[in-house]
Amino acid sequence: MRAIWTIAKMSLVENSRKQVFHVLCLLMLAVIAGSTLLSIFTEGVKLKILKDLCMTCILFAGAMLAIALGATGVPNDVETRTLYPIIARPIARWQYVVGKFLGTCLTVAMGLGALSAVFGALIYYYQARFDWFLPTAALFALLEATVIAAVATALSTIATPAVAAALSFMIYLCGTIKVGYFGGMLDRASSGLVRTVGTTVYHLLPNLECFNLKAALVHDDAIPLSYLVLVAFYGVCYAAFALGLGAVVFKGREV
Amino acid sequence: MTPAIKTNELTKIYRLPGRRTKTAVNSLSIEVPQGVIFGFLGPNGAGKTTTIKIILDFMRPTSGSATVFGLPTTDPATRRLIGYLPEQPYFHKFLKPMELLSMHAALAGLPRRRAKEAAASALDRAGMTEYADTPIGKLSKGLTQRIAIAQALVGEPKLLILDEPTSGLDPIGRRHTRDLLVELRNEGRTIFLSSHLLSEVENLCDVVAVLKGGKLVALGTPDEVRSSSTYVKISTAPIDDDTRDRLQFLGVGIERLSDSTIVRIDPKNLYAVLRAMEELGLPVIKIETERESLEEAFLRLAA
Amino acid sequence: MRRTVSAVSTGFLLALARAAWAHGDPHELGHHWSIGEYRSEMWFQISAMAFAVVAYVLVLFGVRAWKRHGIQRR
Repeated sequence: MRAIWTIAKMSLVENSRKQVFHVLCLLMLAVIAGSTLLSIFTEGVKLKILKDLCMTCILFAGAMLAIALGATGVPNDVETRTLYPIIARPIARWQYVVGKFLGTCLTVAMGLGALSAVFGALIYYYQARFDWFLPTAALFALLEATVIAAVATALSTIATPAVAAALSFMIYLCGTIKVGYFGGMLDRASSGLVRTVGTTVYHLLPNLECFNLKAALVHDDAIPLSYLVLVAFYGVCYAAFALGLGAVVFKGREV
Repeated sequence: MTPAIKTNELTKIYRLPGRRTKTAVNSLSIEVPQGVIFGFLGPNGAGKTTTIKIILDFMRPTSGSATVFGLPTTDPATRRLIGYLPEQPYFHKFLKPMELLSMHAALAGLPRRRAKEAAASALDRAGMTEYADTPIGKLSKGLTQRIAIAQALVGEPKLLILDEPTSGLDPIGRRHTRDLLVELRNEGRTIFLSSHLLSEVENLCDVVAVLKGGKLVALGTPDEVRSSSTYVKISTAPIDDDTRDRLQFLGVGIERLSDSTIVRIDPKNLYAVLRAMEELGLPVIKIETERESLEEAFLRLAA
Repeated sequence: MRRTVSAVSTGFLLALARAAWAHGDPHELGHHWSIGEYRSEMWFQISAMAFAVVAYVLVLFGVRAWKRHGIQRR
């Protein structure tokens, strides 16, 4: 465990110095701050649009950070050969992969924490009370990013950073419209082969839409606790599975 | 005593595009005794780095096996006994040496309190205490190399695998490193050294192995690897091409310098060559006997 | 720097546009917690992953046992 935590800390320090982290966080902060200039709407609608926009920022920032950092961590270490002194230590390959993944998640959590804090402050300013559902929504946005980070890290153990990032982005896009759109498209597919391949891909893709609690936050809807527990459990299982696959692949990889 | 490193018919074959293969290591069987400085030599592409990578479990052999102190190299716990210095080490530039070494101490399995002490001790041994809090990005190549040596020492490993340890070091740094390696050897540690600086290897190593094309071509002390025979070296005046051709007909080695000529001969041909030189009107400036250096042995064996 | 900013901005605008398509339908409103398909798909994937892990572990133990048996016979 100590080895994993050591690598995670190193990864966190390294990631927090990357340009993409600062650019994303600053851009999203700018959008969140800029969303306060929606004075053309009445107060009630303004608050809804503010929540929608800010939550979109948080979800987007989490996903993009997870992809950008997760897809480049391992390949960068291999390319610069910083990997060699690390894996020459008495640590297993899977500990290294998990450590890198954890570092990515910590960096994403740091970024989302900052954005959520600003978001929360804005809501308090406009509603004169704190929205207690916001931490839950932000937490599930982080969980979504965790799943994407696990996929990106797993892909990075076999692919170059560009390929891993591109594939992760495609999986992210498809995962956010999986049940709503792909499901319907598959039902309408005529060819048996298309349906078989499509169904296989459909069941492999992560169900990212279920982590998006934006609608509940905006419209003050209640979500059953059992659903939230199921989504959290699903997120942990999928992330662990993707990471496990990456660890198995990296174990056999020659460096 | 269990050898520090033992390889048994170690073979590594790479698959290349187009169904071609390349044999990087070919049935290599060596035993590195404990408590020695072992020189691992060979020209570029001889299989040295591949062998080191197999010992460190960066890759698996196609066949054969390797052990470290009798333990399988495939077990991560075995690497608790190893400190590794890669060729051209690279570390994150924003890290400070103390932070880097503390991280490696933690990875080596040392408890938190001991990790900081171990890091400080390793820095001290590498002569880098004054740079403990300077970001690595601000250090020169030579100083970074010394940090890398300190990194290999963290955790008090029984076996040190060093790939070009004096690369980038100035003469003071090289001297410091040589003295450190001798000190470590005297403490009972084993040093497995891969280097192209044969003059250093000759003075430092207790045992050397020479690789060529993935195969072991020589193994023994530097004295044993060098040819036991001596040769005679005659210094004379500069010669023209015609004289050179006539001398070479006698089977001698000729080295033409700007202001002299060196003729190398087998001692049993000395009088015949001296007679020929007298007939050619060549003066004899100096005659001395010499033994083959390790570099000459290396060129003979591996070139 | 410019490429990073352009990529981030484009992606963000796409994400925003996606949100703007929602109207009326629970699918498009994002009320996935009231749609049974989401739950059933999650349970299906969790079961499939558990099955894959158990199968992998069994195969791993089986291969190791077979190798050990092969060595003993020799």
